[in-house]
Amino acid sequence: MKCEECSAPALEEFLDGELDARRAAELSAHLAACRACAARYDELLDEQSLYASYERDLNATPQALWTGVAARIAKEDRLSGREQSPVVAAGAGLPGRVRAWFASALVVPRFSPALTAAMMLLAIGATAVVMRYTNQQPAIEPREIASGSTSHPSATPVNITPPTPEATSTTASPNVEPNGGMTNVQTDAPGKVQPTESQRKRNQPERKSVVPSNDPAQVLAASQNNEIVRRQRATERLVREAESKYLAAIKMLSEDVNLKRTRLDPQVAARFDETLATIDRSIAETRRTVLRQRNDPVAVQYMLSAYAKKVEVMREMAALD
Amino acid sequence: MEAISGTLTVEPQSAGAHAKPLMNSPEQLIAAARRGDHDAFRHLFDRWARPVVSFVYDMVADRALAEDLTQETFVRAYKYLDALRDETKFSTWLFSIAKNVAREHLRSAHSRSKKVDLDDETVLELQDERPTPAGALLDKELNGVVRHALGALDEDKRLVFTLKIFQQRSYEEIAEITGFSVPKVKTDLHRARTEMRRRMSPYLGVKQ
Repeated sequence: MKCEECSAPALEEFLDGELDARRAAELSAHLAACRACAARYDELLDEQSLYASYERDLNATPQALWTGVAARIAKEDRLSGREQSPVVAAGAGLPGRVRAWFASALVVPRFSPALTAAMMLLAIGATAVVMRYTNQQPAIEPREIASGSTSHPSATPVNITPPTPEATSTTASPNVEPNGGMTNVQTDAPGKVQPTESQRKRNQPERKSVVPSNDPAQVLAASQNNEIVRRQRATERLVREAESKYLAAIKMLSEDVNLKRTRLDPQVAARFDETLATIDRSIAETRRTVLRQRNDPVAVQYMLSAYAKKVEVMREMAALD
Repeated sequence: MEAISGTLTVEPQSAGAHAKPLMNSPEQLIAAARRGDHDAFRHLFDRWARPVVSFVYDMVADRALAEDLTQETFVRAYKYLDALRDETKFSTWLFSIAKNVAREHLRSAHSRSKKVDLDDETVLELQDERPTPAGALLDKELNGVVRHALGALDEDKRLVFTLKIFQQRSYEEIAEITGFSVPKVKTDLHRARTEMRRRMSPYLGVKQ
C-alpha cells in the first residue's frame, strides 16, 4: 500500500473496523512501515480518546424516566385494547375487576359463614387493590388536583347508630350531605345528586391542550399532566366505588342487625352499639382525611379498613343466636 | 449484529424493582412486552434507557428535553412493538425511533432557534491564548466544548457522528437507523470528524 491509498477516510474506516480483512491487513502493514501515516493514525486515536472522556450533563435515572413511560404505556394499553398478561392485568383493568369482585360477592345470600369469610377477604382484598392502585400514582400533584376538587360524588358517612359528635361533624364537609340514617352514595346515575354545570367547569383541570402549541415538549408535558389527572380521577372513582359497595353491604346488613338488636341481651347490644359507634368515628375521621388528601394511600387504606371492620362487626352481630 | 444477542443484564439501581427472571433473552422480552407485559418492557427499557437518553441529548443538547424525548421514544416503541419484524435488531429499531423523535423536535421553529452557533462564546474562548486549563476544570470545559462542537454540526453529521463515536454503531447499523446509504454515512462521518477536529484542536494533545 502506498501513502496515497492511506487516506483519512481509509484510516477512519480502519479505526472503525469497517475495512474488509484484506484491506485491513494491507493498511496495518503500511502503518507499521510508514511513520508519517502512523502519526496520522495516532491523531485519530487521540481524538477517539478525547471523545471517550466526554461526560454528559445527565442525571435522570432509568427509574425516574420509567415512571413517566409506565404511565403512558398503561394508557396505550387501554386505548389500543392490548391484551394484558395476568400479571399486568392487575394494573390497567383494576376498576373493572374490583367492580366485578364486589358485585359477585354481594349477591350471595346473606349471613352464611362462607359469606362472612368472603366479605372479609373482599374487604381486605379491596383495600389492598385500592392501595396498590393509589401507590402507582405519580408523586407529582398537578395544580388542579392539589387545589382540591370538592364536588366529586362521595358517600356520606354510614350512620346505623346514633351519630356521634365526631360523625355528625363530618356532615359539615361540603362533600357530605346528611339525609338521616342510611345514605346512598352520589353517583352519576340519573336521579342522583350531581355537580352543577358550574361545579363541573370548576373541577375541570386546566387543559393545556386548549392552548395551541406545536412544541412537542409542551404537548408532551400536557399529555403527561392530563395522564396524571386522569389516573388520579380513576383512583378517586375506584375508592368511591369501593366505598359505595361497603355502604351497600352495610345497608343490607343494617336491617337484619336492627331486627336482631331487639332480641339481643341489652348489655350485649350496648357493647355492639358502642363498638359500631367507635368504628363510625373512625370512618368519619378517615373520610375527612381522604377528602383532604384524595390520593393518600394510607388514608384510603385506613378508611376502607374501617368500613371493613364495620361490616365484620355487623355480620357478627346479625349472626348471633 | 446487535450489541445484545444473549442475556440482558439489569442495571444495579433497578435490580429488585421489578421481579422478572433476569435471563430472558431480548426476543423473549419483546414477545412478552407485545402481550402487554410491562415488566418485560421495563427490562428492555433498563437496558437501553441510558444509551438512548445520551443519544437524544447529543442531538438536542438539552437535558430536560432529552429526558422527555427519551420517554416519548420508549412509549412509541411500546406502541409499535408489533411493527418490529426482526427482534434481533431491537436496539437499531429503537434508535431509529429516537432519531425520529429527536428530529421532529429539531425541525420545530423553537428548536432551530436554539441551534448552537459557530460563534458561540465558549468556542471563541478556546481560541484565546490563556494557559491550558488542567484537571477538573479541563474536564468540565472539555465536556462543554464537545457539546457545543456537536451542536455546531449540521443535523445529518451530528447524527452519524454520535451514532458512530458515542454509540459505537457500525456503518450498516447507522444506515439502518438514519435511512442514509452507507456511502453517505461514510461521507458525513468523515466530514463530521474533520469539523470536530477543527473545533477540538486546542484540546487535542492536551487531554492525554
